[in-house]
Amino acid sequence: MDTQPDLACPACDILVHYTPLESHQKAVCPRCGTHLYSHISHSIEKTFAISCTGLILLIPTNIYPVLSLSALGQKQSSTLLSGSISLYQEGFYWIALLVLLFSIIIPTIKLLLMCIVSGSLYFNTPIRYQANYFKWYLHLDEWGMLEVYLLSIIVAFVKLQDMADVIIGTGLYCFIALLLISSLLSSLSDKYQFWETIAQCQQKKMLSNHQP
Amino acid sequence: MPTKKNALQSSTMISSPITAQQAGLIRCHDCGALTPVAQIPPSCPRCQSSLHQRKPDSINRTWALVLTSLIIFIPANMLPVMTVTRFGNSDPSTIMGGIILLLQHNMYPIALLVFVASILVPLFKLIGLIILLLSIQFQWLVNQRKHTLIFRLIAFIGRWSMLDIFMVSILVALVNFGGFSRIEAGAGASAFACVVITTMLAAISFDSRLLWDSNDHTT
Repeated sequence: MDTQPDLACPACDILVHYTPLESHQKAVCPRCGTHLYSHISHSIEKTFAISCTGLILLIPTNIYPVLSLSALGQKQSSTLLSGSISLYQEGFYWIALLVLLFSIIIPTIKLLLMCIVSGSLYFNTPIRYQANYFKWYLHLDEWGMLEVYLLSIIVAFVKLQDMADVIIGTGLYCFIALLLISSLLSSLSDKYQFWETIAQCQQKKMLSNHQP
Repeated sequence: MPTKKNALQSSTMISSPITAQQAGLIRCHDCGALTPVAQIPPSCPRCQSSLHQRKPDSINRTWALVLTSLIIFIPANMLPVMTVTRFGNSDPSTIMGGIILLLQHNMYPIALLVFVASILVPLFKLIGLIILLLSIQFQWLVNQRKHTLIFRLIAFIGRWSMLDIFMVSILVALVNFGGFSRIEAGAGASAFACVVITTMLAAISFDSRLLWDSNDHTT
């Protein structure tokens, strides 16, 4: 009989047995209430499909204007990138870099990393740095701020309404779709299952390396 | 039959109410795998991260970052985050000024939203982290479950303070009609971005397991 506890709570360090869950159930720590793991069926397949969709959606999101403003016979459009560019031109390099990182670069890297990890697990091919890629994804998770950006688009939209005509562009719809994709990605990726599969995948690689 | 979306939380899940530390195990910060303390070299066999029983220097690092952001919080609120120029009149506005302007235009929900995201959230984070740090250092008798919940809340809300910075970047890009009307960013925005980053880093460097450790040692 296996008496070895399977996991420790990340928030309070108590040892807990891994209990298999049904779909849509989640396990919480009995001592501090922190979410431990949940079971998502076909997590790897779903994650792979969603991250591929997200990578495709990145293109229209960055090309089409998010908001346009017309006043005094002039029209001014802004894409996701143009905020950072204007800040850069005004000499605010630090904020320009931060806005660029949080709204475009980190969400893109997250999608790419997830696509590589889930793709390699889906096709059951051990690749180099597989564990590292997933580790980086988890570390970057907090720093992608698409939902905050959407809220600030809404605030800017309301603020500008009494000043001029604000027109919602195609880019905004793509952006909302991308936001849904990225939140689906974090809710559908079963971290426990991912790490177990990564460990199996690496073991397979080790075994095949030892064979003559 | 358990209903869907219910939380599985039963006492049977705890094999024995001891922590990983008491059992001589180290939980990997990145992948959660448990490794015996005696493991040499001290790296996780599954993901090769270096292993630590607790986050290294957690209290010192969190204090340093909290104090830094407290100091930067002053210029972030004093300096203008953006300057609105209309027909040659420059009108610099701070974060609070922007909120008051929204109130004058009767946009109460948006004003409340900006107030919560830019003023209440950073303050709550800083005060909350200071209370958590003090309670660990002076071993106050506290409800650890509640404090862990506060910490989870602090870690969750941190990112929403970027709202104001993103909004400035959108306004700067959109409102640029030469001499008639334009919006420029201000030094307050840089300071405010620093506050958000340092408080987020402070929450990351804080180890909530330290809240439970004093309890685990006495019982």
